[in-house]
Amino acid sequence: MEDNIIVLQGNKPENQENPEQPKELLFTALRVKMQQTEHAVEKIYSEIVKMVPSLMQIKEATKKGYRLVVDASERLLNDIETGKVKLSVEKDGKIVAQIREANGQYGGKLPIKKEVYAKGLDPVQMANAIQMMAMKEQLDAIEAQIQFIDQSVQDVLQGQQNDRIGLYYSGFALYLESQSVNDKSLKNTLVGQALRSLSESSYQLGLKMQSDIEYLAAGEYKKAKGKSVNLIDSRMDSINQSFGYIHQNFMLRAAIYCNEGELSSMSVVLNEYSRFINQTIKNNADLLSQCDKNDDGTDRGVWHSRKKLQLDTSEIYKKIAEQNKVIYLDFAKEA
Amino acid sequence: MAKKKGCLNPNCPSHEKRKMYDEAYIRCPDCGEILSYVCKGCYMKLPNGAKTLCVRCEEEKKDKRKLFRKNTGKAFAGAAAIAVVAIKKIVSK
Ligand SMILES: [Zn+2]
Ligand SMILES: [Zn+2]
Repeated sequence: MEDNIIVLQGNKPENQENPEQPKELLFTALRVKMQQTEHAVEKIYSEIVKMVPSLMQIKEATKKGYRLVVDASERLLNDIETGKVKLSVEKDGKIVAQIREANGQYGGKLPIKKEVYAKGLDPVQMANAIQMMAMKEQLDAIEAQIQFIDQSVQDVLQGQQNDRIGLYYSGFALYLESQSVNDKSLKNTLVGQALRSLSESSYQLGLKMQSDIEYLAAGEYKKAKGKSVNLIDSRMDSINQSFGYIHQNFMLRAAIYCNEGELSSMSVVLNEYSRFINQTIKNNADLLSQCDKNDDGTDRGVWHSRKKLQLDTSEIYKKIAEQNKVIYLDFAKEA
Repeated sequence: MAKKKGCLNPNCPSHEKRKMYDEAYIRCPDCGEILSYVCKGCYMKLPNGAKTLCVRCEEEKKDKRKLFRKNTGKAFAGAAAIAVVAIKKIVSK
């Protein structure tokens, strides 16, 4: 398995002039997921609408403690028309619906019956849909932030080539390879290798960047008489390059997880990116901006804008970790 | 050396000409924007506690001074050599 990584190390993909940008991969993955979500939610919605009368029967039954098969009364149906149905995912993965009562409170949890699943609703897809809907707003904000940082990164990465970034390209290549493979287990293996290669690359680049920053912070460039600026510039080149690849790396890993449908892992990756920014850049932004000949020192400048990158994944993470994921389906318009 | 302020409004003539103002100025006379501390060398915005030059410009200045010393040192040595030759000539006369 390791052989693959070694063989591919240091080779940039052939389509180097027009590479598939990790940022684009991530945005596309997110868009696809969002569309799937909307589709799934529509399906859930229409099924629930059909289900409403039988939901009402169960409701009656739970209230009275025995099963009563009745048609929903005029008054109750009217309540539904003007009210809302709440869908949530329970700890055990079961999806339940709750109907808002006339007093504005949600009534008891009604399990969604097997028949609904049989009609082509995949419970996993439903759970994902509920998760994605909860994340939508945060994802939009994250996209905007990434877009901004990405611009300053692309210039630096033009024409860079050294062995430190080999692992990154090998991870990228493994992932692209995995996409063209049909065999499921081989595909999984390749994706796993790609992720491992990327996370190792990210770790190494992070260390390199850290040591370059320490060099600048300690003023070690002063030792070379008359050549200090050259030393500052070459360290800054190295730092900018490391940062560029670290950025690409996080984008790519988030895209992979998103494509694989592992949204909580995606959120962990984005979270890790924010933590990296906090640990490595936040307290050094003043130093870095004063050493970087392309930085104007303002909030729009290279390093202060990078410093501000906070992909608000804590919210996403909370939502995913929440025991009950909830979406609200508004019945008022449709009924 | 006194710290200098500058205007960071990209649309302001003061910014374009990299005009520098004394610390006492609060607002830009051209556009009215609040002035910030800037580097005397490259006009980048500096944090409030910083010196008059950014890290890079300060080193650049030192580098130049060192190079200047090196070069003037050589010039002195050259002059000394000529002087020695001149003295030798005088002595040999
Ligand atoms: Zn101005
Ligand atoms: Zn400067």
